[in-house]
Amino acid sequence: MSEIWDVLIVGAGAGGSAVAAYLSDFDINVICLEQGDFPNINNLPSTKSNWETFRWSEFNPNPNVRKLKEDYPINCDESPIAVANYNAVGGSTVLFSGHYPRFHPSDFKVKSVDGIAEDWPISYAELAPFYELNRKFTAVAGLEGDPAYPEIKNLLPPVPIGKMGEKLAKGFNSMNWHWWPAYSAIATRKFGDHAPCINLGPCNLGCPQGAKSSADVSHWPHALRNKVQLQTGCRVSQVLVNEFNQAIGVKYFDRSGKEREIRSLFTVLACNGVGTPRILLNSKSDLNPKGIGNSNDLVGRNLMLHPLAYVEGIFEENLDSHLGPQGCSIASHEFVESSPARGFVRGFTMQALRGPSLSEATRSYQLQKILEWGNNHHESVRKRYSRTAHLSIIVEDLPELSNRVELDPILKDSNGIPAPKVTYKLGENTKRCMAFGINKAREVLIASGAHTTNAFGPVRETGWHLMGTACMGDNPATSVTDKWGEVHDCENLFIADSSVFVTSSSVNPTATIQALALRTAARINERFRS
Amino acid sequence: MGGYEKPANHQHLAAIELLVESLIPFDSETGLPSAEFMDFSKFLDAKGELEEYLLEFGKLIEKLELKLGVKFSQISVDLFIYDKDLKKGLGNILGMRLVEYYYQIPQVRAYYAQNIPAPFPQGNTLLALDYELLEGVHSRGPIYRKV
Repeated sequence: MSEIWDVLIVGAGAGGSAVAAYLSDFDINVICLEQGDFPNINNLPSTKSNWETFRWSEFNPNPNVRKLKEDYPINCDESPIAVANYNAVGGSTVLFSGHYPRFHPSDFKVKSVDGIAEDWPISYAELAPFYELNRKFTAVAGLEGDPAYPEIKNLLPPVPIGKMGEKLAKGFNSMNWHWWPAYSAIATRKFGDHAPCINLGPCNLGCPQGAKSSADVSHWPHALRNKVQLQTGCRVSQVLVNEFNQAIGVKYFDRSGKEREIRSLFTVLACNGVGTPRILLNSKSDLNPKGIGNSNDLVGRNLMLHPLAYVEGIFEENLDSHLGPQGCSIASHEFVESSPARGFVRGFTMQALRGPSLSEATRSYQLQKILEWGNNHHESVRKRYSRTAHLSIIVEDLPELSNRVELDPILKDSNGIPAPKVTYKLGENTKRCMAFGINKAREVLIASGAHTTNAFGPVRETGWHLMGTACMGDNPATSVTDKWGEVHDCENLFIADSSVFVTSSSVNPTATIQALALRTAARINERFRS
Repeated sequence: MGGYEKPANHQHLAAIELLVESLIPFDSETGLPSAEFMDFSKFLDAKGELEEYLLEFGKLIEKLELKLGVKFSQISVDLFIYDKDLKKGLGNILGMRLVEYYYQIPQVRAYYAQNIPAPFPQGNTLLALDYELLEGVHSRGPIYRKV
């Protein structure tokens, strides 16, 4: 292998796509290795009559259920929350719901404002230009004037909130609590390579309309037009270093299973908060006996997952709650900031989720043991389906060293690479926050007119937000990367995913992943020029 | 009562057939059909799970026979369905797959106004935002902490 690429990106998901799209505007040779394939937009479940059933098989968010050739197993036996992901060009954004809020200013300074965890080495103000820049690629719908944020301008029109959203909005108003139309990575009108949204609904089975800003739709078309090389079916096993412990490329398995090496001046890992520490930990050598970047034993630690609870309210009237983009109606940031009287620090958001499809809803009733059998069966479904409003409680969990990703000593993927093992427990602060959140959600659902509420959490199959396992910081003793995402121990190796998060906020992370990735890409460009 | 080298005997199969139709019966109010064992068994067979499910049914039947001290044919289906000790086991074994099968039946989906055959490319028309609802939220002013 004689060719040396300027920049090698590992992973074509949210972070990797943003790095690729940014660098493609410059005279830089960029290649990206991705273990999955490009999603076939014409063959997504929503184009088929039995579209719901795919959620239980090849479009299941759990890779241990999906078991596609591009998936690797993840041992989650010691976690109440199972990891969710999707391995393809676009990564987990192919199946995300498109909820796309920014972090709040205080999310970057939790130690300063609340005396816990650590501050990020950057501020909201420093990241704000990259949130803006990302909108060159990502369609962001919403509404200006949100009191939960500093000014955010030039948004596409919000996704319609629907009957259920309006019902809940009136309930929030009666409590005098904040709510706002959801920030959504959805083109509510024609935008770049996106088609306008037609409110299909099951965004998390992929969007056949091409309206959702999954990275295969938002960033990759631009990068590919600018000649970024995208090589699919390639699974990276480890980062390679020279005698100075500088990254010089990676070792990977190609589609046929042949092991290969590829060289680069700069290497970017963008494999999410589980995949990235897995590669770092597997990159053992005499120079890095505990894996790359791991001289302080922090790689894989501080895993944060956003424990999530569901609270449902059942109404007498039909809310059409099964219709429309699932994750993008309204959201409340009333309880984001700390309040001493609550008995915990930091907080949670409440996100209205449009109801699940018919098969998914009835399965959920069965799991909750509220589905009746026999003569009352039909009535038990009728009185709930499309009459149920759903609120998710997304809790800001705090970094804890014992919550971590390690290499499983036994489990391996199809290439023989050790699989990740996740160990996670809900901290006391998280438990108190979730219990408080469930109560508040019940209150607002009843205020909205619900006659019955059901709550359950943490919900197991919701581990989408994989954060903190290679955290950034100014101090190499207490962090894995610097404030640009470059690994302290390993020059020229960058991380561009939510592994670098210092704390988790209580909102979905994708907008922040992509803003950080663009900032990292800008840094790489500067370094390349110098 | 013996072992279960074979998934289920003919008596059990007949019982299961009756049971499936009783779990989700015909609804005279809406015309929604009952679950049909023949269709359900095809659904399970397509998943490669039919034998496993019949085996588990057999175990349930044996458990009920032991509890009540009579043969299954002498037990009413209602008792099977509503027996408190068995209900959990019944749900675990049968419930998930039965709703997966039943709620894919076009007539059932049509009743619940799901788009048939799929949401694409029809889409949905939704109620848009009434901006007046936000007046109170906006008038409170910023709620984020300035740091």
